[in-house]
Amino acid sequence: MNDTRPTVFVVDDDDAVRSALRLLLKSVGLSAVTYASAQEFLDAYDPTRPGCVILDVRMPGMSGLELQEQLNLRGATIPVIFITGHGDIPMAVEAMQHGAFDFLQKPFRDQELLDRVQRALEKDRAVRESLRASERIRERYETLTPREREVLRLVTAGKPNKIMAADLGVSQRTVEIHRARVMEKMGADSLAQLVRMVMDLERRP
Amino acid sequence: MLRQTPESAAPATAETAEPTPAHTTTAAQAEPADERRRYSAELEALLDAAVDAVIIIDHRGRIEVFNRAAERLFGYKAEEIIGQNVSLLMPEPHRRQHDAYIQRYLESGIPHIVGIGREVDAQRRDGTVFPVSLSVGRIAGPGPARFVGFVQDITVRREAVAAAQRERDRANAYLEAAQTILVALDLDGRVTMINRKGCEVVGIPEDALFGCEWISTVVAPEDRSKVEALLRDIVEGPADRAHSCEYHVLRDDGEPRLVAWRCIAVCSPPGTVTGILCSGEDVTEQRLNERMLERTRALLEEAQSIARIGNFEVYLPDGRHDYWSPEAYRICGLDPERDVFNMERMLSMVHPDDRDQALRLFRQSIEREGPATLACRLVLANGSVRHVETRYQVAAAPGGRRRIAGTLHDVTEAVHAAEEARRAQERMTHVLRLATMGEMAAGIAHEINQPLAAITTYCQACERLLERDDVDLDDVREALRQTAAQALRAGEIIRRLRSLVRNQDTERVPASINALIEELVALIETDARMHDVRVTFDLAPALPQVLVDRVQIQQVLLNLVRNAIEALQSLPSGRRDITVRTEAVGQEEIEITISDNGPGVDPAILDRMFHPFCTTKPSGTGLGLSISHTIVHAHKGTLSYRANVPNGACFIVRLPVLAE
Repeated sequence: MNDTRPTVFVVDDDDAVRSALRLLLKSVGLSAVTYASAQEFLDAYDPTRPGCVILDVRMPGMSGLELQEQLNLRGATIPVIFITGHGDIPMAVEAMQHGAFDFLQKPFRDQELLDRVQRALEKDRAVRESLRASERIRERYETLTPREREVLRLVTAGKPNKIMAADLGVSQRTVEIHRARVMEKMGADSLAQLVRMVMDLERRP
Repeated sequence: MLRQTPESAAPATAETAEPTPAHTTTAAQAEPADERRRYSAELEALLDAAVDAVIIIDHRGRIEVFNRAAERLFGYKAEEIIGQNVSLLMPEPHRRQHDAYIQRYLESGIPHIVGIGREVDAQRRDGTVFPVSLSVGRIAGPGPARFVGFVQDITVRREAVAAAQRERDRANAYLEAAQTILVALDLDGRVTMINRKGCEVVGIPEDALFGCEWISTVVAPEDRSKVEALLRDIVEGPADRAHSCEYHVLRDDGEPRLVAWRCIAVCSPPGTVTGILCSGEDVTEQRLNERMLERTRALLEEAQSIARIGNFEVYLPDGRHDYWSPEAYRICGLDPERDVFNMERMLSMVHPDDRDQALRLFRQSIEREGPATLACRLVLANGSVRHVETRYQVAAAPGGRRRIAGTLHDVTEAVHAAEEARRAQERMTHVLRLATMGEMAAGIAHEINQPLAAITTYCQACERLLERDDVDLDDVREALRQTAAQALRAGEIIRRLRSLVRNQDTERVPASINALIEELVALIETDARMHDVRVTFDLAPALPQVLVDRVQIQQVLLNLVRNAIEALQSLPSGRRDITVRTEAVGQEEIEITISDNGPGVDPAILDRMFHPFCTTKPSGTGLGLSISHTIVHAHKGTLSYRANVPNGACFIVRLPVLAE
């Protein structure tokens, strides 16, 4: 899970294209794993492995677009770079609409591909980073008592301590103590940071 | 010879000599005794000289006088018959009854034969019976009545009459048999004679017709004036001229009958016209048949003219009794009224390029006999070229001749139409081809893109690898090998594409169907790959060759595969299968089947799927299957459809195997 070395997954039914891509990625020190079909990749897919996918749009059996759909269904966040043959522009557009990271038309300049791969890996890293942050927030949130969660909700809704005390039927002092505990447990330095955490929680319930 | 009669007979005989007054006058001048003697001698001489038999009998019928002619006629001598009863000279039953005749006459005074004369039968001494004319006179005198009979042999006359009757009967029978109508008219146009056939035709009995006015009774009203003029002409014109005319008579039931008449004036005595004799023949049916025949002939000629088919019947080698229908003449540019036509002339018109073969085939068919067909071009007198096809039957005819009967069909229009259709089909094929090529272009570009992408990537990878300090030369070597291989791959694709595009001649050449399909594999697989379709080729080894236009047949197969690929798009990826199979069907045909597991052809359009403009595709022209069908038919093959099992479509192309 914490293997930070990203992998480039190449899915193309053309042997030559596959092996050329692996060599190109290897030449810049990127590790690549290749698959001859979408199904082969899907069977081996591990969502925890960081990296990106280079995917041929047209393939016998499951097409590139169908694989993208499968990944979306599984909630995978791994960026997908489509490579297309001549005349597949409409398919590439469709792929982009379904959340593809980018697309390239064959044959392509190595630098263009490598730049996109690098950007995709950065995005994947960022996504995984943010995912990990969200997970930490969730874990902290789990440690709050019901009363503290109530206070967190009211605080982030912008209620002053005095109102909160009235709403909860406790003294202002008690509210202040709860509030300090919530800030401490959630590891928030400011109210603004706490608000972002709550938004993150709400985005990934 | 007259025999001496008894004395008593003499005075009576003398007193009966009235028919010869001259003798009487002579006798009256002589002395009584001398006179009697002389008178007796005169009578004797008279009787002896008479040509007729003269017999005198007494009132009992006993013969008193029997002259020489009687002796000759009956074969009796006078001396043996005198005194006998005259009935001896009669055959039964007259013989027995004769005495009663005389008795009755004497008692009643009513003459039966006496004074009248009649024809009766007589009997000779030898018993033979013969006809005679008998006239009897009564000899008046003092004693009992005596009678003199004159007997004349009428055998010859009666035979002549009988012969004339027989002749008439025969003529009548002939006329009856000939179904000829005979009518005689008097100068007033009244019927004086009509035969049975005549009565039959007009449907009126003979009795009723006699004396009737012929024209008003029998002739159809619209023909009456014509007949009146005819009769006038006959009566007034030269007597010996026969007049021919056809006019209708009306039967009593109102049915008109057309009769062909021949009429002549009857002159008796010569030079005086006393009537008109008409002979007629009922030609109603004959004219009807003639009209029917003419109509049939005209219709046949019209039909031949419309169909441009003539017919003929000729006899080889002499050409006697040849028949060529008018249309046969016209097909060959000849005038049936003016030109002479025969087999030799027709063969001489054969186009020079076709002549050798046509003559050879013709000669073979004559020797072989039986049915034959011959197609060739004719060059007509005006220089125009016609395509003709003749189908005929050759058979042996009497006298070592050959009878050839057949039809001559001008197929020029059909040949031109077929040529036009073939050109149109070629144009359509070309259009379809261009369209298909256009669609294929995308796939080919994709196909070439793969090796190009690989080559590009390998080269770039090599460049980067070589820049590294820890360069792995094995990687570089492998990359270079791969680069070369991919360049070759691209070249191969282009080569195949060119071979497909270049092949534009439309010649039919012997070809292996598997080789044709193998040339298409790259194209088919590209297209299939683009559409996620798996194509399986199941080609039977060692198939016989077919005579085909390579491009056209490849066009058909590509078209069928592309249809299948399109049809399979409704299925999820990975389940789309096409099988292209070749196999031999018997010794005569090979079969190429293209089957898929798609939805199959909608049963609603099964019966018109091969018609032009029948399509289920939004952007389809509906020409692909139609043109494919036409192409395969032009190769004498078949293109058919059946549902695939368990699902999908299956198109079957069958082509005839090239004969060894």
